[in-house]
Amino acid sequence: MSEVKKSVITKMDLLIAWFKWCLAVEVPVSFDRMQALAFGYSMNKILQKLYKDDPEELKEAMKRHHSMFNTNCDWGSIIHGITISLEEQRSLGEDISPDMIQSLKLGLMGPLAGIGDSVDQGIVATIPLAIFVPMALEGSVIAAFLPGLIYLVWSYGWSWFLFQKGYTLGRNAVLEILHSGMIKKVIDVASIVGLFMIGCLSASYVKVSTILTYESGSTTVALQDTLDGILPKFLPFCVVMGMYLYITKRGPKYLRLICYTMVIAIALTFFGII
Amino acid sequence: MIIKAALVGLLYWISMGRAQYFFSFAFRKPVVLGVFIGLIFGDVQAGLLYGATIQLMYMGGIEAGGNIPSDQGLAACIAIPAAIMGNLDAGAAVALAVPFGVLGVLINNVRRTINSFYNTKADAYIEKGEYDKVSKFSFVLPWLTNGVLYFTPVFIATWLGTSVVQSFINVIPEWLMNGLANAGNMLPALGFALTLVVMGKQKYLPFFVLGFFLYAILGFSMLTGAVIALCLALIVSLFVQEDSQEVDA
Repeated sequence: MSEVKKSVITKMDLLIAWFKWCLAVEVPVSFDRMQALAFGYSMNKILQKLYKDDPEELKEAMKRHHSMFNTNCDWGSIIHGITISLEEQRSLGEDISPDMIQSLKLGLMGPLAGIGDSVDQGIVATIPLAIFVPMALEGSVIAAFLPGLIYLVWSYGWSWFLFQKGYTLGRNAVLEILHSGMIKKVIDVASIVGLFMIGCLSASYVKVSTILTYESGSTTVALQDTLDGILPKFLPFCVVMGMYLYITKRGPKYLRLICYTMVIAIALTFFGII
Repeated sequence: MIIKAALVGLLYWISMGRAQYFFSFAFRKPVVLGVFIGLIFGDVQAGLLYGATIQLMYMGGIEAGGNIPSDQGLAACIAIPAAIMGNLDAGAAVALAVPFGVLGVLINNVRRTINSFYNTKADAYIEKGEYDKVSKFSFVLPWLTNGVLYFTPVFIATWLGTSVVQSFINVIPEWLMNGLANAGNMLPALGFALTLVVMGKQKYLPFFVLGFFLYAILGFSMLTGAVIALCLALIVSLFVQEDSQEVDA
């Protein structure tokens, strides 16, 4: 490993590259190459600076950073930091192959997307909504904005931190972040909190109840009351688990799933079942 | 009216055009859009109420890998103006929001198909070595294309306005309205199911079941729920750590 890292890239360059990544990330997304153009957009000026004396290398680098890429735009920032650090070392003549840079990018984007989507969207974006939306329903404008503000402070702060961290630590950053026991523990705790809260939220917001009744002796009994006696909110639980099983078995076909839900809900309403 | 329609169209572009992803993600929540749409139509409280009610349908709004399960931005930008102008009750606003949430997913698919074209343009300019031009295809042009795709439908829908929406609602039979409202009550399940899938770890699924039925029986506040969840998680992590040390050794 290099002891004293020579540096061509300034902090300002990093800040601009990070800002461009946040600006563009989901804008040029396409089916075939996902966030490729956004990654390239963030790297463009940096690569031009690093390889300004070597047109051939520059073209190759441009090509490799406009190839298929997809990750969570918050946690994925560390990949940019690492990539910039590796490209810088390569441009300074160190023995780092393009394959190594590419495999690092592709290898990291999946796991980071998984962690990032579940922590950011499953916890940071969702739990504040659960806490503040009921207040908004009672007319508090501030409560309408708080969940968004919490999410913004977290995601801008964390992604800039990771972006810099990726650059300063270089390729070792990956191992350090992903394999340190600390982060694993934090993610485990976060997963449990998230899943428990998703349970509370499901019970609170998914509403299905039957209006069927049946005769018991001489009295009419609502089927829903009987169901509640056995297991409260059993029907909403079935709906969530049904959708969960559908997605795990059939893949992410959300549009179809929503259409099925609408058709089933309308049909059940029409026949007077719910 | 035309200015109000344009402003709502602009709101939708900001929320789904996705420039500054973090910001647009926070901005596109119906509860936030509701406040701004309310501001445009001069009734913030009504906008907030409709927004928050529609928000209930999208509590678990996860977008794994850029696939939006349902477009809450479009749902809000179509349903809230119509609801404010037509003085609809909140249930009708939700029934209106459901189908438009689905329609928004289609716009997203059109967008991602068009963007493939910008990929090939970018490749061509890289080949020519004109790297500054590549940047145009990476942000500005896709963003403006978004603008057309997202601004237009909302602008037209808001401009045609209440009369159309109102007559539409009058035509729809009551069972269909109720059916859509029921669908709206079931659809949060999709967001939560999706979150469960993304969180991944099947071995932790019992925590979901525990949270669900504890809440179903006790009905505590969400903050209380978060405290219970955190304590549970910390207690569990004590055991997890000891287990993994045994495996390592």
